[in-house]
Amino acid sequence: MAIVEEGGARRQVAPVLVLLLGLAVTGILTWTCWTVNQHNETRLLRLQVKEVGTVLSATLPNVESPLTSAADIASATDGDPTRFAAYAAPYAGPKGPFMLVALYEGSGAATHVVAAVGKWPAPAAGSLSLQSALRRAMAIHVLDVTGILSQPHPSIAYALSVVSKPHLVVYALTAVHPRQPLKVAKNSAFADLNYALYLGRSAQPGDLLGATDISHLPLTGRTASDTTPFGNNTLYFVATSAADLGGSLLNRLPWIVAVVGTLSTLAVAFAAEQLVRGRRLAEQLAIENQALYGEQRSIAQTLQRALLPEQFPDVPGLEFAGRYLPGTDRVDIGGDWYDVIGVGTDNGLLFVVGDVSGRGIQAATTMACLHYAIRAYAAQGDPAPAILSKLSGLLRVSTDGQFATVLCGAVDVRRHEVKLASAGHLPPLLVTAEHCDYVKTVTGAPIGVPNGHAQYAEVTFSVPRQATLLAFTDGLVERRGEPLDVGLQRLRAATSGELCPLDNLLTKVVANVMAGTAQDDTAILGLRWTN
Amino acid sequence: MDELEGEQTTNLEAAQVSVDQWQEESGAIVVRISGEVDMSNADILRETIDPIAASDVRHLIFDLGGLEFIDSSGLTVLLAAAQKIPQVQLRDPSAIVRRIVEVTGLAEVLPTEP
Repeated sequence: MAIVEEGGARRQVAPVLVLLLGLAVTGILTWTCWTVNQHNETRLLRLQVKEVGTVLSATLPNVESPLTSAADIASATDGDPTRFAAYAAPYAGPKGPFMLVALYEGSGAATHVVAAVGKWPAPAAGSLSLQSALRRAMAIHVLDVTGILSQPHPSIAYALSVVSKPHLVVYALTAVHPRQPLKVAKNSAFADLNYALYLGRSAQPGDLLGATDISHLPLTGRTASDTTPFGNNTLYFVATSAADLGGSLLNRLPWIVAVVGTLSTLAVAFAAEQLVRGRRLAEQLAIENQALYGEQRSIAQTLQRALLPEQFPDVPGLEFAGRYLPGTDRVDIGGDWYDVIGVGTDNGLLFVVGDVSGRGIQAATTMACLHYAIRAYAAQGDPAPAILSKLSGLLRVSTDGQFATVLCGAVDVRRHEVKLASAGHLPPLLVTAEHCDYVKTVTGAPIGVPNGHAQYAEVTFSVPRQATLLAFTDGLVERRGEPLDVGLQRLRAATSGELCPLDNLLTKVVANVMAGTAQDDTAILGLRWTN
Repeated sequence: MDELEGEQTTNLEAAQVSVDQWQEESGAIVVRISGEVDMSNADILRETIDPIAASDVRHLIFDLGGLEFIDSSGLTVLLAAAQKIPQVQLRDPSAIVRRIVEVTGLAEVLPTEP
């Protein structure tokens, strides 16, 4: 079925769009969260590294001050070895910052040690590293920092010339243990950092002074670094965060957003798919219902048309014309009908106009039942009143919810005579050249409304030559809010004195009397005596 | 009018009807039908009248003072009640409605209250 396949294709579109849109939004949100978090982490790391630099700067005087003071003492005492050694001794022990503090005098070949204290021996005057340190110190008059020396132990060498006596230079060595991890107290401000400290301006492995985790050097990933001047040298500090500086929630936020967003998107897409499927199903049902309804209506219309005579009996001296008009409302079928039945062999015939209450298929089927019942009774030779009486037994308004008005006339063509019986039906209109009047009928109760044992009365009247008898249902004359007699009068006025052909007369009546306003369906039957 | 038991109003494109009912001191149930009754709203009438017809009411009066139009669908409801209840009468039907009842041969089945 084409409808289903088309629906299937269309059903996919909306949920897939929802899915794509949802995933795109989730992706953007996740990326934004991730970026914000990264930015935040980097910023926090930089801040912490700056703090570390500040702390380091504050600790450097521990090294510089004793050496400056020692140089001052050497200047004041003109290089007195005893005074120098006495001052330097507390700094040059296992508990002090230095392994050796020495005072050298002279340069080049004339270099000699004036005084030396500490655990380590003073380097020989001819040592190349010593000579270059002394030379630099004499030239720049600031603390010369050299490292990292490997002999005799890993160490940093400091050299500071005495300003007033340039030939005197304070020389000191500090041990370094780059292979020993730096210990960080758990509650320290830097407990979340992995960091490494180098002498110099960059992370050269040979310049490493210490690190929290020496097995993972150089530090990679998100790192921040800072430098601090240290004499004529520089300390380089580099760090990476061991944990999430901004807290674990902020770090997990992108993942939370991604997971929740994806799940929500899937849920919404699923719901959309269900909605679309439901709507398609409803639409399909509506289409099928419409098709079914159309089919039903078509069946009923076919039935109704089939029940109206396609051809009237060929009766010499008599003409027939009929009209059936569905109501203007949307129900195209009703319970109105007309019929002409040949009876016996003697040019006898029976005409019927009837109207079953209500509309729709129920009315049409009841009409069919009554229609055939009348034909059967007529075939038995029953007169009109007897036919109506028998018909009464077929319908009950209290159980069937329907009743019917029926006009039944037996026509004797040769005698120009009609015997008429009415079960609640409107009287027919007799149109002659001189008169135009409704036939005075005696109306009994409608079919389906039993009224004791009351019999239907028969009214006999004669029809002149060229006369026309118009039988019809109430749809022709009834208008809402208008007395019935006004409608009856309208029909009378429209047909009065009309001698045009019968079929034209009916067309005129439909056009002038109904004017397309009837909501009810309408049946009209015309009989004309031609001689 | 001593007991108002119920009222239903509908507002349809085709026709508007309002139905209310009460019991008179004589014991007769009065159902007042106002507006217009056709196929589109006859069911509203049916919802009120069918339960009354199914009860053991002996006397039912249709107050048609405000009824402007009734088609065969509406008459069906009145007639069905008239078949089940021993005494059914019309009260104050308009000339239009009275003529419809008369033409349809229902003057005996649905007599007007004296």
